[in-house]
Amino acid sequence: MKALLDSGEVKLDGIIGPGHVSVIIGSHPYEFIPQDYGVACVISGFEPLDILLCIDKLVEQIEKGEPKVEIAYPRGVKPEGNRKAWQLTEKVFEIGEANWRGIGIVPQSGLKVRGKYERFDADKAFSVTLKPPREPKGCRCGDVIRGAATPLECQLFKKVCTPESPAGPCMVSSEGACAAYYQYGTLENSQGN
Amino acid sequence: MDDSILLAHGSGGKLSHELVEKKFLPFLANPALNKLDDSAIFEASGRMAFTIDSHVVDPIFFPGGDIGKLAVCGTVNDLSMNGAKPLYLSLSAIIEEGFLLSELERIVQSIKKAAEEAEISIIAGDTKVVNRGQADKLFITTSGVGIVPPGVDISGANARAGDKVLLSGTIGDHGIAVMSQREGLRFSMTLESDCAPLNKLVSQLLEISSRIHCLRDPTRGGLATTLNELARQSKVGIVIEEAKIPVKEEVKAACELLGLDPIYVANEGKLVAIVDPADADKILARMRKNSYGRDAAIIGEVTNEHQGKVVMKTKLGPSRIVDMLSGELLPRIC
Repeated sequence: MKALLDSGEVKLDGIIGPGHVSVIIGSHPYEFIPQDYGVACVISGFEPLDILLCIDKLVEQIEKGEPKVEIAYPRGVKPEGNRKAWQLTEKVFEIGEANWRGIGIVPQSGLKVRGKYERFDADKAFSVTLKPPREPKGCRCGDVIRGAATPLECQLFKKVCTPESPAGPCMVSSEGACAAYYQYGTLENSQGN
Repeated sequence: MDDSILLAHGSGGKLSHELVEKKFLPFLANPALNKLDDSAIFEASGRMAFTIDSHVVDPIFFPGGDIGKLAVCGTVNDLSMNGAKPLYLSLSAIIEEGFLLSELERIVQSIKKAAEEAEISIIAGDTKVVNRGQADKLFITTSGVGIVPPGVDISGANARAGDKVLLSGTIGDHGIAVMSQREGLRFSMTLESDCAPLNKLVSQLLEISSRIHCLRDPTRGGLATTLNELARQSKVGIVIEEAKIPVKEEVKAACELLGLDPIYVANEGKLVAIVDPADADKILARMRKNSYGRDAAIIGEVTNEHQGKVVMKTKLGPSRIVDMLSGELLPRIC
């Protein structure tokens, strides 16, 4: 999130924070977003009403000019998160760099298995060398993930790239932006037969 | 006889005979089956319906049913969805070496119970045993024949604009019950599968109306996939209202937690009926009198617009397209 905000590529008014991640980590790790960047941040649940509530809170913060971190999913997320789960995570993993599609390698943005548990680390347990990932030609998942393009701006969307035959990750997971655009498109903009 | 299935039970020799005579015949006995001839002979005349269904459910025992009950109900329901009165089933069991005989007996008893309820006979059968690891405990395939009463013409291609869409009860019960059992998800309630034979419900509906156009049981792929199949087959559009679709609170809660949409979750004891609007209320009232249709509702209607597509008016107001299930039902991640 910091890398996205630092790039300044997309001017964000507010951020809808992730529900399940926040069940574990709580809301405190997002405090830098309003503090350092002046951007509103509200953690949302998954049902339609959860998301509406989240957007309502974001709009309110933006109108008042008072960005802060709020939880619009209180039945799932507590400010302190789930300490036990987080302690277990910290026991097994340490923070390290990670490669993000469309962004590149970001230091301190991923989790890797600690040395003590490296026998469970697939990277170390199997001697497989993977070729560097190759972006399918024309796939704009990277732009979509950064918010620099909508799925409709991708030439592959719904033509070559469908949930049955996805070109990029945004179409693979039901949570991907492209899959959502595909699944919940309007009648005019709907998937053909 | 040992307490688990041996490869010798599939050899065709003594143990195979013992398996059939001790574990199947005592429960499923009827004149045609008892003869143990290579095929069963029965009298029939008129238009017949014929179908087949394989069952590989994991786990084989789940709240509200098991693979045996499912194997009978699946084929009985498939016959019923064309308006046929199911008469006879054949049943083939593929058993993994090492499967417990006590579990097999429980399943055969469950087959017997379901067959009795549906008033059908299993008149032909087969068993095979495969090496450990070559099957997952037990697979059961059933085929069935039924007789279609004169004048009955029910097909997925018969929906017409203006028809009403009826659903016989709550959706998602089977899928969530099986998934909870399989994944070891513990909720404070125990949700049961809706697995049930629907032939009597169908015959009750056919008694009071000759204007039932389509019947289909929304099994794998759920209600959404079934409605899409009907819209495509009949070349019509279907509009449904989310608020009118009955869903149990437990299923709603489990779906919310897992990120699933109940309209894509499997059912094994529900049917969708598309009927002439003039008879819709009468059919709904009759459905509700049957215990398997107690929670029935009219959930939408058929239109000439957006052919081949299903549109749902959501609880929040706007409409959205409901597509067939794509890929596997997967819980959300983030």
